Amino acid sequence: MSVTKDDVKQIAELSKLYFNDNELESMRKDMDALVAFADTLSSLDTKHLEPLSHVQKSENVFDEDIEGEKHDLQELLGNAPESVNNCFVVPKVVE
Amino acid sequence: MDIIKLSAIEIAEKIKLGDITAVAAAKAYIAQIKKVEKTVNAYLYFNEEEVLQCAKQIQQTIDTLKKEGKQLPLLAGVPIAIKDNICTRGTKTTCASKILENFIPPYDATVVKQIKENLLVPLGKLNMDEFAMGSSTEHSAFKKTKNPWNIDYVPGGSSGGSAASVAASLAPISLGSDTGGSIRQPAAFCGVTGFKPTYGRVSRYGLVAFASSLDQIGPLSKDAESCAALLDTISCADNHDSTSLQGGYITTHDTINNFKKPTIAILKEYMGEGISDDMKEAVKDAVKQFEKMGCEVIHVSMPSLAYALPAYYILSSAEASSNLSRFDGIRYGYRTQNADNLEDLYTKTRSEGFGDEVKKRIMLGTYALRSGYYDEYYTKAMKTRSLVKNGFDDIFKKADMILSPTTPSAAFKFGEKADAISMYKADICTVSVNIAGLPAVSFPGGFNDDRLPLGLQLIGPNDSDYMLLSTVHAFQQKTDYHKQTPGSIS
Repeated sequence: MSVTKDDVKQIAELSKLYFNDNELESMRKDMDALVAFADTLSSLDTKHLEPLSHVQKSENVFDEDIEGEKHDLQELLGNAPESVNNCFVVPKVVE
Repeated sequence: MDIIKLSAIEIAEKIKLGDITAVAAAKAYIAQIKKVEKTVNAYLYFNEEEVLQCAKQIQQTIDTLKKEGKQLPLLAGVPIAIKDNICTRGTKTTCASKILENFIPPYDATVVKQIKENLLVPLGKLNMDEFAMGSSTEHSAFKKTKNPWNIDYVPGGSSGGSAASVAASLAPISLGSDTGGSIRQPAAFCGVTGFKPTYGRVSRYGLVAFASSLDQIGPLSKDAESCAALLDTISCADNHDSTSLQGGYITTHDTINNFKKPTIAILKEYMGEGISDDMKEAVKDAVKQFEKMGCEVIHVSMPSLAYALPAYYILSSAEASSNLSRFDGIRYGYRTQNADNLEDLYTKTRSEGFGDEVKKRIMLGTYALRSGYYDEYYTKAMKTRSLVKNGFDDIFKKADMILSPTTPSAAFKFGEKADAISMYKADICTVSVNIAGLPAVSFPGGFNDDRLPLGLQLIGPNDSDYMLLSTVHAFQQKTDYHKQTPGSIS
């Protein structure tokens, strides 16, 4: 299936990424090649197979309900681009 | 004594005997870093004072333990370098990405806790492809790491810094991470030994997630014995990682001499089209060596391997698109300076913060996961994963392990693989291992005419880590490829 510019725009929106016109065309070309590569799977008969999301057997691990390690608030906020009164600052959301 | 010529385990032995101290070992590597790091560019973070201070403290602990007659940990006092996608409390962890350029983790990854508790001395943080996406370390946002064997060539990736640092004796041992070959492929290109453990053996807590069902942290060093010692140091059940194994596996260092003459399978698909002649010769030479050592070698075929690479790129990109959605410029990491509203802030932050390769993977992953296309791509790739896993299971009924080239050819030059698909094909022999969650090791198996290292791979069933490492150890007792070092770098 060939990838169109509109496909790239739609996927970019879902991915929260922006591409200018030049980047859009270059991304379209790359994605076209990648999707063609991915499409090589379509010739494979997988009807009898179960999808395998993870290689490990899932096992429940039970743990005592005790308090774990704490992180230092200032250390955590130290990485925030902007914070005030121990809160993360974001642009105004509600008018 | 030239400390930097010793293997990690030899350094540990000398520290145990009191022949050298952790401080002397650290100083030897600091001197080498000062000499050649400007050419190799393996490190993203290195602070001489911090290393020396840490080495002094660790030597004091070692002295105390000795006085009390207590046993020292396997690698006590040995310097170690860490890939920059592994969180180190108080020290920047950038993933070689602009979006995490100033990120200082408020906690240590479980593996970092383990190496500190076991008295290793962290030397610094290592360069890599951004978010571990790449096979050449050319996708680092900060610098280009050179292959110490020839600086016109790439060191491989994504753990390029981890492999180059060991090859150039900028560290005796390092930690890397392997999602589709990111430990083994650079180990092969740089002529060192790199081990990808059974999935779940090493905790992923504190490893910045790329593709969670495939990612695994592992050791790189000059020889299999040192890798075994580090693997035992970092293997543990961890409540912070729900996929970590709850123990029950066999330790690798105390079983390193238990070579059991395994039956080794050669896969037709990894010896055919696309594999260079010199690489095929290296495999054939290794077969002769293994036969001399008493191993039986059989030839098998696994047609489903042809589908492992496209399935890997769908699965890993899908998981990456989900994992990397957390980078939004709110709680940590880079934030754009010119956003009008919240939506705009997310989009601009991510567009300015991520590099091109990372964006490509996010886009491909979103393409495969979006409504209406999920079954066609993601479900199909998961079914292919079953097929690949079943294929390996069948082979391991006939053989104990598989021998193959680690890479289709020796290292390539900078800029040589400009389009994504040809770069992805550099991973053709390694990705199937991650899809099936298996352990595998890359070890030096010769050199090509340009004196670039050729890496060979052994793949085993789940929990055969000890068997793979003891087999490579036996091979390394009979060969000297792993002892050869690049000419002088300055």
